[in-house]
Amino acid sequence: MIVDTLRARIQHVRALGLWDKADDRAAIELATAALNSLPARSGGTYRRIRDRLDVLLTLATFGTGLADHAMAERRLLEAVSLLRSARSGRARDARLCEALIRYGNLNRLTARHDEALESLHEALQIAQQRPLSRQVLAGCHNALGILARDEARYADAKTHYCQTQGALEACYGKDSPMLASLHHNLAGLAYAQHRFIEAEAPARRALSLRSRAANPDLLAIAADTSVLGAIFAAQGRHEEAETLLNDALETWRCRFGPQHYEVAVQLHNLAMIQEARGDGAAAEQSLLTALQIKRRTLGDCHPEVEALLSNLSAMHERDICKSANSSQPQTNHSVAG
Amino acid sequence: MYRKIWGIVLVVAGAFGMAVATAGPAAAGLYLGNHCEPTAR
Repeated sequence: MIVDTLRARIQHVRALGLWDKADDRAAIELATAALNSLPARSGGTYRRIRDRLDVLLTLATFGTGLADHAMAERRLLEAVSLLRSARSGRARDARLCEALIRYGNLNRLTARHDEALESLHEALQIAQQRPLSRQVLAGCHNALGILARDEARYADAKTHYCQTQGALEACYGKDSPMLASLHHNLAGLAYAQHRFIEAEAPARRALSLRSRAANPDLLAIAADTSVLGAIFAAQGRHEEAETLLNDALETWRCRFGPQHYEVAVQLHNLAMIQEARGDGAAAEQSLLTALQIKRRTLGDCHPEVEALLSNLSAMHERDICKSANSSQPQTNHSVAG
Repeated sequence: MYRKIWGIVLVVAGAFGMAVATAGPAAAGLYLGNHCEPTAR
């Protein structure tokens, strides 16, 4: 028993190392082997379930990273169920909040907003009742803010982000890299409201705070870079936008390959710049690739897929109008002739 | 002798447990929102 546990812990550490080296398949295999070495027992103390819980959450992280939502969901559901079975205590409650936040966030990504709200409210309730640390509370409000933004409840989003900011600043001060994601999300909120000038400052702040970290997270920096690029594109600063979006695109391509969800996000933004420059063929190709990736990762009925289809169709209509306008004088001429 | 070996095993197990917890997903970390993309036109 103790030997199995020890072996599983070693496999888990090695799996995390393989993930850092971008050997995703081997990392998943090893973490799954670690999970299979651990007994699937539930109930009792938090210590009793902790090893299995750690591996489950790691596998969920791998699934989320690869945009494999089905894999992430399976692991998160087991983690939540395992935590619910364990005796309540500070450590167990904090981890239950973490798992519920992650499950809620996954439901948001897959456009199941009611389920997302349910999980996030449960996490918030636990965090407020116990009470848990400010960081846990900040995590709950942040996730609720993102969900509110996605549902266009912008005032609610702002309230949740203010709560997040208060909790984080009380823990870390105003200039900590721990506040980078909050500023990233504030920029996203302003962008969603089409306040493109206002969005620039928090986006720059996120990038600046993130790069101050002792070990900067390159993927998070790529995400911040992408947001600033999208803001510049919306402001009409196409050259600056293109440089940033291509940087982000390269980071995601190098880490996860050309078929990753984040690649589609960058291509969608780049397509709008390509069209504005008059390169309709490149824009159409970018949109089609983005559409194919998002259909595969999100399904046909996801709002992001619908947005891409709508933009593709609008682009075709503009092309038809342009062609009609350019052929108009000739037709008139021939009729007149 | 047996107790000594057992003690070492427990220490190593504990050390790895701590390493895993540190290297694993951050507790209740902040999530990044969806990235900014053009809305449907």
